[in-house]
Amino acid sequence: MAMHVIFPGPRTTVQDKGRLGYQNSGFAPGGFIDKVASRMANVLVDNQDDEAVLEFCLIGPILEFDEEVNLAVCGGDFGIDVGGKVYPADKAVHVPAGATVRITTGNAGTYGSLAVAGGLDIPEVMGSRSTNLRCGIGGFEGRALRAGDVIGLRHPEKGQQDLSWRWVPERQLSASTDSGITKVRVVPGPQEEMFTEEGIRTFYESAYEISSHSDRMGFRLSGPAVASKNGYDILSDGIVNGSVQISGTGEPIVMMADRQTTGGYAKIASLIDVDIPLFAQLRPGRKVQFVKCTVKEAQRLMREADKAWKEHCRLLKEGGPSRNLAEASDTASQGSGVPAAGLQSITVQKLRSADNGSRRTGWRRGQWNNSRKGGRR
Amino acid sequence: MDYRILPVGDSALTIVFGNEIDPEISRIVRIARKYLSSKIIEGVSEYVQTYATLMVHYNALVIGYDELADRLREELSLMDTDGEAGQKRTILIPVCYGGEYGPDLPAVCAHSGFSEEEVIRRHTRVDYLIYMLGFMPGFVYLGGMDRALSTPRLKNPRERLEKGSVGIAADQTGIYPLVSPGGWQIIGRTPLELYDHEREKPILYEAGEYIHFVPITERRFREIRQQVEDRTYQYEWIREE
Repeated sequence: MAMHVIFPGPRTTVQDKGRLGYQNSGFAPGGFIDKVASRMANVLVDNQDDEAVLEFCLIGPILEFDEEVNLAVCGGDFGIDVGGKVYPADKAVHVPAGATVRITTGNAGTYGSLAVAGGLDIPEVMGSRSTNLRCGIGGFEGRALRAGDVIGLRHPEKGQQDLSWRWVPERQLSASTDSGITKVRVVPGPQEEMFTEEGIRTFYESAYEISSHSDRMGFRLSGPAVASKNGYDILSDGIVNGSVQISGTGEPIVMMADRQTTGGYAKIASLIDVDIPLFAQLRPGRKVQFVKCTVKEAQRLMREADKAWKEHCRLLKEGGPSRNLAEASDTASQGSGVPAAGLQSITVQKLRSADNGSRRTGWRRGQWNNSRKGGRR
Repeated sequence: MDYRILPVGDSALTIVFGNEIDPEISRIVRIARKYLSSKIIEGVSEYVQTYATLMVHYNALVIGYDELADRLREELSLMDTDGEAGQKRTILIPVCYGGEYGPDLPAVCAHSGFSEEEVIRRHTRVDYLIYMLGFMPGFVYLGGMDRALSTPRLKNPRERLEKGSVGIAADQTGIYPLVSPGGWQIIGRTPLELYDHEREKPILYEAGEYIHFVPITERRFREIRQQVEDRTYQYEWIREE
């Protein structure tokens, strides 16, 4: 059972939870850049949530499957074209044997995670299937996918019975298409004291634009320089996923999944865990503003998100709201000639009106919206 | 022993033991890493040693920041900084200097005023302390180079340095574990695989250990290379109390 890569997309790699436990030797864990999307795609097709997915950037792959499979795409605003019929993201899709699957790109979001039921049949290297391009290990032959690659698939325990009734009850796009400023929360430090009071004010009061020089290693931001007391160099220390370092130009760089493990630029703050997926999906040109958050509050949000996630997985397993919504979604997705993005917003609206209770299961960016409503602005 | 604990986002914290490159601070950081790693603190996933700090990665769904910081303070108060974790371990790294493997050896000679033999002698008589690993997998930040060998980086970095390249950049010396672009003055190459994902320890050494370079001939380089490829090479370590 295999997946044939007809067209790879510019930067499509295999990623899973990451290569954990080697940071002291200089290996960044790598792994999912949008943890929420990848775990979601996996559970939609009944995989373990940390199973390896194909992660693509803006332009997705064209794939052919030699046997019937279930797959799901989550993350940005992507569509799944199966033999001319376009399905929205955040939904399990049943693909017949021999069908060609194309990913269509909508208006928002950068990264997509494509999970195939059963998982990819590739070996683990140092405990992970994530691709580490720098070392040329993990993933598919240690590199980004190319046309002609044939990737084996593992058989799911329960077979490839049609899972297309599985659907995320509330679609919260990782990045909305509105052009406003996205607020992302950070915990200050560990080198905030390197910056002047004015510099710190600049950092929190300005809007920064995501530069096109952004990738899985880090997102460069452009905007007002953050003034420091005495340069930006520190004695190299550890870097985490979401570390916001201020480089020599005074502009922030947010370190992401494939970051270095250590570095010598001062770090003014770190993104909080629940906002990293939201940030990761912001396209170049989009603007962000950093908002201070305490560790306590960040960890409370993590627990809340985890609780909602578990509840979501339980409902999915039981077929709860997802099953009820399957009909509405199918009607919407079968209309042809509608671009994927527009189609998606139609289905989203339908879903929202069809299920008023869905807010309660807002496991995802709903967390963010809810707290926003709480007057944090 | 003075230290500060600071949050780094919501899933890591850093224990700051100092703010300078100093063998004694490094020794304390290493002992703390070894000591804390030997304690089972539920929720802690990784310790990362740098020059003067120890980063602790943890799962906040298992243990919160305040609780973890308290637990670490409690453990550190019981830590014996003179214990055996302070034992010195040195790995011998054979290096073929000059020629094809060390194209910039003449530049280092010209800058220092030493003969090739003298540069090699000075480069191989030191036990270099591994302060930390970072930048790329297995890349070492070493302390202890003879300052008389200091040579500025290349004006035009090379697009490709072979793995195992040993170089000098200003006051630093180091080894490239992987093929990489780089601006270091390359004076030699080791036949060892510093990084091998199929080995039990993918990276040979860790922070707090020492590296000692041993000069070898080109012929010996090829012999060792063959043994490394056949997986019969015995890595040489020196242990001192």
